[in-house]
Amino acid sequence: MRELLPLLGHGRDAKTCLYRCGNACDHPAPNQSDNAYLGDIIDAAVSRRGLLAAGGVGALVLGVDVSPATAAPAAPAAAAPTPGGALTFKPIPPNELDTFIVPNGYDHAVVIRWGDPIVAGAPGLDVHHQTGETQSKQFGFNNDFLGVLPFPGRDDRALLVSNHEYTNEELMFPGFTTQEALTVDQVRAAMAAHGMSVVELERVGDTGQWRPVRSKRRPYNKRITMLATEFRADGPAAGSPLLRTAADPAGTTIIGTLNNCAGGVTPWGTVLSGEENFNQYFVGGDAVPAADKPYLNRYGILTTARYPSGSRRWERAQERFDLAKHPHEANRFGWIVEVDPFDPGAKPRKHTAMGRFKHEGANVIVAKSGHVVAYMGDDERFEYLYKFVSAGKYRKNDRRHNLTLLESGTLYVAQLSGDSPAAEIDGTGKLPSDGAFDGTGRWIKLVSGTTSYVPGMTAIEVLTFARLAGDAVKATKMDRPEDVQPSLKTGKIYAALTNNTNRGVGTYPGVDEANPRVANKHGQIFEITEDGGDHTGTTFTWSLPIVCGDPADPSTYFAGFDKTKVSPISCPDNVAFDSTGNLWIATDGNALGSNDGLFATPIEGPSRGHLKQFLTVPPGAETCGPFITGDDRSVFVAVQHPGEVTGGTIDNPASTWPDGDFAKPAVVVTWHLDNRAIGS
Amino acid sequence: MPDIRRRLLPLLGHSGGSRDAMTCLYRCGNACDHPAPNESANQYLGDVVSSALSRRGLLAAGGAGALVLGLSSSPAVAAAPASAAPLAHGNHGGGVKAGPLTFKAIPPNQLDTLIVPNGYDSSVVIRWGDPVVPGAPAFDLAHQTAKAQSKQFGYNNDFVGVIPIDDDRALLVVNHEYTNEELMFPGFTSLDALSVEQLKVAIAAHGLSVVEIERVGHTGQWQPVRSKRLRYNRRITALETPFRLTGPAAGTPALRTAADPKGYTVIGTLNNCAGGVTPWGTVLSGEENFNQYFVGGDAVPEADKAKLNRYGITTTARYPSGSRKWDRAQERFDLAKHPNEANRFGWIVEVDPFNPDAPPRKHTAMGRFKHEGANVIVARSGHVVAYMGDDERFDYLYKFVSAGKYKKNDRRHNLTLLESGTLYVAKVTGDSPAGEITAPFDGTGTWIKLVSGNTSYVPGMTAAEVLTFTRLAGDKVGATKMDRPEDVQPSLKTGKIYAAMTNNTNRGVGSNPGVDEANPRVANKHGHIFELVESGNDHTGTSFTWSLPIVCGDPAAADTYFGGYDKTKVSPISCPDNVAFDSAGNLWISTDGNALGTNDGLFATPIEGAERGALKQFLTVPRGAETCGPFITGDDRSVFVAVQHPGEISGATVDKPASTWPDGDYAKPGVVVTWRLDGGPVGS
Repeated sequence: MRELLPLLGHGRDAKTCLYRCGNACDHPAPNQSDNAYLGDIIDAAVSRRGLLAAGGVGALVLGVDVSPATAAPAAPAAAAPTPGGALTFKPIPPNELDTFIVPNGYDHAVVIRWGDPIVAGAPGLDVHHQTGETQSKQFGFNNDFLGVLPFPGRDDRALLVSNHEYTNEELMFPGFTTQEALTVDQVRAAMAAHGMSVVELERVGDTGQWRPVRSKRRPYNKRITMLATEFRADGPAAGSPLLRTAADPAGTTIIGTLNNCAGGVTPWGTVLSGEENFNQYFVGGDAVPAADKPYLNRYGILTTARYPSGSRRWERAQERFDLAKHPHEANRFGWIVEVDPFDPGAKPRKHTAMGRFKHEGANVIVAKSGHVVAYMGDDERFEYLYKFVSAGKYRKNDRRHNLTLLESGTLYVAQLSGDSPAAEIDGTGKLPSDGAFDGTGRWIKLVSGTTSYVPGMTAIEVLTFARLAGDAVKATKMDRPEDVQPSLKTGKIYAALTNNTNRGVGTYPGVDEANPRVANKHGQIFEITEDGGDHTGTTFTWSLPIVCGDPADPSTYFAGFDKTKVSPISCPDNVAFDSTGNLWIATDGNALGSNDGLFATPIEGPSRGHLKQFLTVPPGAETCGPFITGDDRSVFVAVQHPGEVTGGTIDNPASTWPDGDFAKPAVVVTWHLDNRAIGS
Repeated sequence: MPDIRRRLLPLLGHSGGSRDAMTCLYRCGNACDHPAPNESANQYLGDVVSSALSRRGLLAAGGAGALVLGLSSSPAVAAAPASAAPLAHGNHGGGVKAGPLTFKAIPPNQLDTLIVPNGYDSSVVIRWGDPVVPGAPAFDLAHQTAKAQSKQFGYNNDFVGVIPIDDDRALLVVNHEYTNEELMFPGFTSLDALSVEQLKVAIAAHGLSVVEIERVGHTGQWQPVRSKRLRYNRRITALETPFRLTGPAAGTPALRTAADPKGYTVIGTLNNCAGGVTPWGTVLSGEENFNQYFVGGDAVPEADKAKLNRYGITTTARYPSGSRKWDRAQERFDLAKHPNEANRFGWIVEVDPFNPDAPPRKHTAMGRFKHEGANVIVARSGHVVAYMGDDERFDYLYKFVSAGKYKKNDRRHNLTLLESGTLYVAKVTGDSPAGEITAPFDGTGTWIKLVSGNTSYVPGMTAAEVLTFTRLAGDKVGATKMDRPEDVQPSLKTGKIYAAMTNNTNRGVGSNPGVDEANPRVANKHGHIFELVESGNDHTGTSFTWSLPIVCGDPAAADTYFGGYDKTKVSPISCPDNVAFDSAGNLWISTDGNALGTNDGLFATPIEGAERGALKQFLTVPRGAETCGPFITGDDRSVFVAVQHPGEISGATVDKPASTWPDGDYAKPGVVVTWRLDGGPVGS
């Protein structure tokens, strides 16, 4: 019953909540740890200061560095033949139209949509007769992360890699009544619609438009599905008892990937993809041994009943989703996946060294030392920010070596401090007296190689139950860390904290300087500057350049830029950069009531915070994946769950995008009509 | 400078809604600011009904029996089936066929973009300033010259015709109705401050363009051919293109000037609004608000002033409000010196796009008024019949029947058909008592013969006078005063004729004529569609029935009507202007000046059967723009629209644009093609 009601304080439709994350927000946030949130730390510091120092309003000295954010030296930037510049486009106003809107001077086209054939011999979409087999050869449902990887030395051919995060069976199967009433064939079609796609693209003429290659020989085209694709687990936890199942007694071979949300492209031409709300696909959590239940609970798996709300009942198709019979199967999801699109014969891998949580995604930067550093968010209310530093170093012309870099390294979790007294963070979003939400932080080492730094947990346990490790070391509870991405131009790191309507509500943790609003509906952007520009270091400064919402709302902040000149934005989710370093932000669940979209803002200089809406997507849809090609001529977005509005079905669609019949998730490319850089 | 001040203010009582004051100024010289030029005493329909009622009062006893008027009061009879009407032109033999209109309606919006339904795409085919003639320089806004503009696509595209050469190539013929110098010249301060060269640029931006286009792949998209050999590409301008006058008034004294003592050669065409494509592959184009370009009306001989006034030319001052003062560039626009020059505009123009060397012609046989356009159908008898509207408040509907007959394979002969014939004006009668005017609105009408060949049927006027001062002829014979007849077009599927009555906010206001059954709303802000069925489906005949299938506005308003269709399921529509048909006979309507406050657009509705009136919005155009020209290709795969005057909102300039469509910098009028992504028929 509940799933039919709109959720208060949130622009995301109830159906998205049900299908995408298994109504995560309906349940108590799984992080019940008592580790201090940022407010506690400041309070403690202030108490300490009260004990140590006389009164007066001098600079507040906390236990950790409170120096203001220093500019990081520029990290190596991607080559940019036609670099972008000032963002001169005219912003798109908020709207609720069932269409896709780009600024004047731009054009856009659907690149590929749900059901389009990918693999040779694939049939076209036939919604009345979809099976696991047909769907395994077609573009999956609900495209999310996008990466566009050019073939070396060519500017007219590339591989598009897309995540397929989740399915909404009401929007997929005509005549849908209930999940239970779906045939096993339909369940298998849904499972096959999860995963990833690799699609070879070609440039259209000399424009910024791209389209799938339509030849018979497309050796790179590939579907990776939940249904049948084998993954190899690597790193310290691979093969451990926690990852072993009856079907995989060695604990190193996993079938499928689940709920792949965001991701990143590595310098060696692979794609990282985050397994996020994997919990919702499992049943039988009530029947696991009592000792194991806290581990499941901490990851949002229901242990009090056999079926979570809105369960897809996938155990009807594959028994392994029944934890009563296969209690370890859930441990095999929640990892970062690495896919080499240029080697279609290679198994994709799950890197246990990068920890297991509800991974939004992972984005890497090569540190000055040559180590590869991946930044990651755990996308749940009151969860943590992580980073991974590789043991080995990046070698420019040694791809084989680089492919091993994420198999071993050190995993850190973030603990933050504010630099303002707790009393000045009043929950309204009012800036503290120093004029900014900012502070310092440190990266707490959890595990390095096979050595655990968390008392009472082995390295394997730390990696497999990274959330519990974060709890143990008192990581800072954040407002749903989504995409976390370093700017290759400045080396600074940007995290989208999408929202947290439980913040400061009831018994939930209260506000702190990094999560400063009670019942945070609209989210904020979190900027990290590693001390000394050293991405391998353990200390950083941070600030909130953008506190989202209606600019007329006093609780919003746009880096001090004139708020009468910025676009409203709500629920930032994914971020990207153009070659100039402008920050692009996609939204999910616009709580201001209009369609989601893509925004861009300079993030350095006097125009920092001059945010403008670049495009809008149809009703019910979320804007995902933004990817700007290295030449700045094309921006790709994934239109995820168009028409996902409660009451909408494939038979009675709430959106007819893109084809005029029923809604289909699809990837869209936008380009400037005169081939200028996107945004300029 | 009262004129300057005035044009910055919204005009009271002008088209009633969102047509911007700037559009009024530049397009029609603030026509609505002036009294409607039709001061004739001839009855409007209400008078006719009223007198009929009086007669009835005299002749019959009381009671509520059927009202018997002097004319037939039978309800509109169904026209002959489609097969009876000759499908004289169009390329309706393509692989796809229009059918039921299944697209999902676009909601009203105010976005600065062009929006089409899901499953469709659109692209700009050509825009103001794009090179047309080989060797044309690239557009240079800051340094436009008349020479450059004469080779480039003109301003404010209106009528659009697409005439196929083969399946993949066609000639695009476009009217350029008027210019808005504030949106054309950076640093604009006043019309008086423009240089003479800039005036010549503006004059050259008027006229028509012919552009060869090619299909993109196998889609419904079209693009200009980009080769050096473009034998058909052509600009026709108001600046220097010679036109040949044809028909009975050609060469008559009223058309002679010092520069053209014989009265057969006119330079240029003005304010070309709508038009039509003939079965022999030419384009007809209507010269509409030509009056505004002339000055010096105060200095003409007193005896001529009434004729100028009837056409909206100011005779009380040298300069009309917002005058462009083109006399600074070409003296002929000064009526004080060249009093007959104005008589040489206001005609139907015929352009043969396949013969770029032939001078376009002005057909005097079709009469002179503020021609919105002309659309022809071949009657069963073989005569060619052109339907025409005079786009001014309280002006008339006309038709022209050719003297000769259409010969299928004799293009040379067909090219002469519009040079001689009979001109009629419409007199319309309602079938309900004046006190009971409620939907459905319908009645009967007659075509009153004005002139046939060289024979005048209007007492006191010669044939040449009837043709040159047709409005006066209409006044004399008691034609019916309509709510601004814009595009008038026969459906080739049914033979019925559809006229867009765009609005008339003066209807029934003050001393202006009151409502009648064909123009049934006081201060008509939103306009209506007028359907005319020739008796016996004979397009050469003189009697017809009529009805109003659509009375526009917000469907929630009680005074709107959508063919009796469920009004909760139709799109709001306001100010219909141009109409078109797909091969299934669905009626497409574009709007100008949406008085409901949202952007203008293109709409489609079935006009026969149970779905008659199920109107849906197909596309919307950017802010400040009007949707013109709709043209559906014969294969139903592409619909062309002209986006006219985007960003024309008071206070906007090219330096500070109110719209950035289509290129993101400043607004440019442009022709757009829309097609279905799967190649299917548009609308279906």
